Amino acid sequence: MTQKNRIDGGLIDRNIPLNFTFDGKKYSGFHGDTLASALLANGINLVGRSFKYHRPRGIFTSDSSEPNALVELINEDTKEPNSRSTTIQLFDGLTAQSQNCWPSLKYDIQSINDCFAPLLTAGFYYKTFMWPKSFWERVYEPLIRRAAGLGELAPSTDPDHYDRGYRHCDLLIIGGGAAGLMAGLVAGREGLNTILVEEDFLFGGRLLGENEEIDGLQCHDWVANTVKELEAMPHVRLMPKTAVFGVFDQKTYFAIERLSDQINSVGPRQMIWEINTKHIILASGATERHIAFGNNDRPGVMLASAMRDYTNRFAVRTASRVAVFTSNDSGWLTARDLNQKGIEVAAIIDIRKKEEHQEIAKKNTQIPIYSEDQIIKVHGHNRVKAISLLNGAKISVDSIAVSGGWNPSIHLTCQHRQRPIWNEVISGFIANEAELPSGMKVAGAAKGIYATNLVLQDAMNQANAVLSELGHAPTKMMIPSANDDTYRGKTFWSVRETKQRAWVDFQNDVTTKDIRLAVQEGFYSVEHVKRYTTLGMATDQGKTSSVIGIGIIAETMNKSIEETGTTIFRAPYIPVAIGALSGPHSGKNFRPTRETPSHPFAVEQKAQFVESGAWLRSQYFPHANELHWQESVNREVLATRNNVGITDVSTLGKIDVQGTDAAAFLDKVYCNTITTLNMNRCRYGIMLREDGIVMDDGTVAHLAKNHFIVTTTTANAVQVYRHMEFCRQCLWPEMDVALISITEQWAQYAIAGPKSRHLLEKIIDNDHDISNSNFPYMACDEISICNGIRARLFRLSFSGEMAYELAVPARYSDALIRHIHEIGKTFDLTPYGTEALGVMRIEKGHAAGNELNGQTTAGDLGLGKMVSKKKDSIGSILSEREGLVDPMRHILVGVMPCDPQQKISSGSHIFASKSACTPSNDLGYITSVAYSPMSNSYIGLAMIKNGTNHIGGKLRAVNLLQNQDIDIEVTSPHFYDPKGERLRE
Amino acid sequence: MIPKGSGYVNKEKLNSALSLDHLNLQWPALSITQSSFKEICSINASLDKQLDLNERFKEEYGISLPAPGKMVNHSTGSVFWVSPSQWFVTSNECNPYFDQLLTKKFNDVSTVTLQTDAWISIKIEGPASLDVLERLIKIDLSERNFPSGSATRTGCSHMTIFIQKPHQEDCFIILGARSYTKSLVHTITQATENILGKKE
Repeated sequence: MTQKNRIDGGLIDRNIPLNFTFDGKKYSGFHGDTLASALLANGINLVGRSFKYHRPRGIFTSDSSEPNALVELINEDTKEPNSRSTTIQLFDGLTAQSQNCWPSLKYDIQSINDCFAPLLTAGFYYKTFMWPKSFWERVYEPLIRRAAGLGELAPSTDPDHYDRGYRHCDLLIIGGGAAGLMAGLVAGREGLNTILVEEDFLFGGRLLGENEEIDGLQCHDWVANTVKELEAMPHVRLMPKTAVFGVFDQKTYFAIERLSDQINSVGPRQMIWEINTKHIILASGATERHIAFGNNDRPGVMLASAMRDYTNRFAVRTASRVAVFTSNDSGWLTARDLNQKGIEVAAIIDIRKKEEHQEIAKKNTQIPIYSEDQIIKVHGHNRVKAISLLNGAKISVDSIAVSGGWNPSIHLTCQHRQRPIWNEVISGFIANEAELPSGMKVAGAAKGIYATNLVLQDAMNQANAVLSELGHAPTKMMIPSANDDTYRGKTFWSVRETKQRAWVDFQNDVTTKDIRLAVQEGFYSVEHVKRYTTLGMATDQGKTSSVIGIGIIAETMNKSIEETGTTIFRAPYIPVAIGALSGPHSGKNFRPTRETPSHPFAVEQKAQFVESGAWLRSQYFPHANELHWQESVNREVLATRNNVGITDVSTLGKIDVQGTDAAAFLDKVYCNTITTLNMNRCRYGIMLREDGIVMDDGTVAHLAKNHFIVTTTTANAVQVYRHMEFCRQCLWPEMDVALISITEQWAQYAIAGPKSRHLLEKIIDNDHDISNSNFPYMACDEISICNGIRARLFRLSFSGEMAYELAVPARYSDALIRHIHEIGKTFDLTPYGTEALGVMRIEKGHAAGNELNGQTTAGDLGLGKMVSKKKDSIGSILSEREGLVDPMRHILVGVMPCDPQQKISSGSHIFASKSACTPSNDLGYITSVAYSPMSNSYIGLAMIKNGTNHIGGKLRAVNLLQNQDIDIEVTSPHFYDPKGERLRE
Repeated sequence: MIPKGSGYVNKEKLNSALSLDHLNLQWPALSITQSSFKEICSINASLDKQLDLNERFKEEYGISLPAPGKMVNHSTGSVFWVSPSQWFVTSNECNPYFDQLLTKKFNDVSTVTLQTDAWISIKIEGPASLDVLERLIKIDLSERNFPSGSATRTGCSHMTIFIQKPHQEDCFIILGARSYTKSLVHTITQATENILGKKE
């Protein structure tokens, strides 16, 4: 199909033709087109269907404020819904389809909704779907959800990837129109490190669509020259196709760059930039708004400025015969430009009196003018055919250019909760300059200044102010000469005399009647009307409609705009894809993971891994003949208890503590005493929070004079290190103590089981005696292994068996585990994972993360005697609070099902026999459960009120989620070797 | 038994291997390789001994300990600031007892901890280095804000790193935690591929 509506001129490159498809039909456009301009060039005016009534809709704007012309971009089996055809830069092979219609755009069966419009007014959900109550979840909500929405998400995974970056500058200029370019020139020539962002793929803003001169040049030529100069400045970075969508603290701005509009693009499709700046000039321009009149949503009705854009910038004839309906001079400029391009302007209908527009009327002498008149009705269905005026005239036209004034784009000024103020002169909200986000200045049309020469002057003033604040002299540049027509307009929202529905928010199908009804029903707050009617809540966020809605509310309540108030804006300024927000990483790489030193070995041993924070830990090592993970875990437990097992415990936090005050420092941090710990000995330690609750547990090893190694749980490694640093730097800076994490430096393996000593003796160098008498339980030392490799040996046991933890610099970790594995064959060595580790610690009754849950005290865990009364330490005083020493507190005990075949569940709540399962009867809860191959039964640890007194008794473990109600026996938490003889052998 | 002082002789049964051996990714405008230093130790000035440590360090290495955010080279490596009263000293010579060597020199004014195995070091070099790093690191790495001789702790895709700007054009060194090796290399590679395309 030829581009039948293409005319001469414009900023498109006719040497680069581009083919595209819309709704299955092939068309062509040119480089420099948007999808919308290319559709219009090909005579396509019907582009979409509305949200609720499925009314036919055409292209209404030429920028990101577009409410109507949303399409689905398609690439093979993927698609992106709700793409604004007015911002998509045309590319070869683009495929798009209309959305929210079936079976076709032209004949949409759901347009029948329009016939039921009287039933579907504002708030009809709340009024209609109230009875019967049970229908809401089962019938109404599913139906509404199915009917709601515009485009459809693709069922397949997003094939694109995204990126994220950080940029820094002295001055961020938001908007690349006249004001932005002028500010950029001033800042750039003075050497400021400047970033200039523009949402469009071309800089120039409104100047691209206007027909005026700057410095004797056509305005788009002035734009081209200015951009060329800025591009040559090394300290100025131009970022086209980039929209700032969020203002955050400390002058941080988030912007999204559309690197490609193509789905499944070669590189990243979109990118989020976090821009940190010292100063900001908001030069975001203004958005034209429309007027609500009967059937003003018909395809062919377009904003007057958009019509100028399509004519002047894109060289597209949007109509054969146009009527201009305006409340200000903007509509007249459109009439002038269309007329110059040979497009017939059948009428200018201005709501103002003749004397109010006579100045601009002088420039449009050939066009019929209807002063103090209004359009009350649009005729036509899929396209405008004619209009009826208030004076009774009916005029045949196929398009209407409408202008109801301009809304300064002040969204970014409001994101820190600042409220804009009403300016009657321009009939628009402007930013309250006394309350702008830190470092921000507003320039040009965003401030309500519309004459080009005043815009340039204001931009220069704002840039000079930035220069001054940065210690620079003001620029000596001359302001370019430009159009000085001041804005003249009259506040006007809607045609009251119209009998048809008059649309305010096109995308959400909100009419003037809906808004008036909401007010009549008692919704007086703008915020409430917005939510009741959904005004301004669609993907365009009411850029063209919100202010009109506020105006109609004010009229209905017979109040001023100031009295009525306004909504404010939140991020994002434009829709941002979730994929872009998630950043460059997806799938397994969505977040960074940490691998243990033995990871490659574990992979070779076919370990199954489990995420433990960021760590990937070996969970268990299945053998080929094992059908269930429980079989593997049972084998690993039994092998360790009977022979010897090895597991990687490098993930435990390890902190090197040195200094002459190291022991005294640890005495303050741990609730038990460390200063009495002899050299080459270890001690179990507990840290309390200030409120007396247990923060973490671990071991303290006294390795050398003034040198300790403390360990933390894997989960709390960072938290504990941070806590200790806080104590060192802030609480006791007078202490001579140095801390540094050595978690990553030392790979550490636990070697546990009755044969562990024999195995170790094959590894460590001969001059170390690790016999029980020389190296007893809780001993530690610096040793060497394998002919002089430095190592540290700790005789610690989490499993309850005779056990050691052997640490080496991580560079030897891989070789060491393989070496031990080889030597260990003689001793039936078995690698074990976190599951077996967990089983053995439950069998021993050791508290771990499930029990250190932020609610338990040392006393609750049976460790109350560890809180020393002989010294002060963090949390020790508050741990004696009445509530924390109450005998009715939950105390750690063991539980077993009375029937060993029954499986109890972690999280089950404990109740007495025959008592009802109510919160008042709740005695506690099970924290950890495992199957114990040593007990041949499931066993668990539980926190039970006055638990010690229940030992030996029977209670019930109830899990309502799993329909479990199991009789249990309460036991000591030490199921295995309660006297601890095995670990001391 | 543990060798005394720095008299380290390699007669071990076990091979040492860092998690980042043989990293060498090349694009025309960028190379990502393993950086050269072999050992790292933290050195912490004892309470009120910072000036003494600085004097002793000057005597030993001929340079002062660097100020916050800075690094300096010495004859066999470099030293950079890490946190208040704490620096990392690097050595280009392999010696698993490097900490004992430093302890011997500065024992009465500092504490020393071996850190070599905790870190991987990645050199990013080439005209595209800043373009890549601005996708990874929040701080302003431009020459005016982060000139040669700068070194600081920061984050990279949720991982803690140190970044250094040695006295070499278009060159940066990232030190990341050993356990994060794969994730860090992946992150840097992906950022590079997003700009320069897939690796040749």
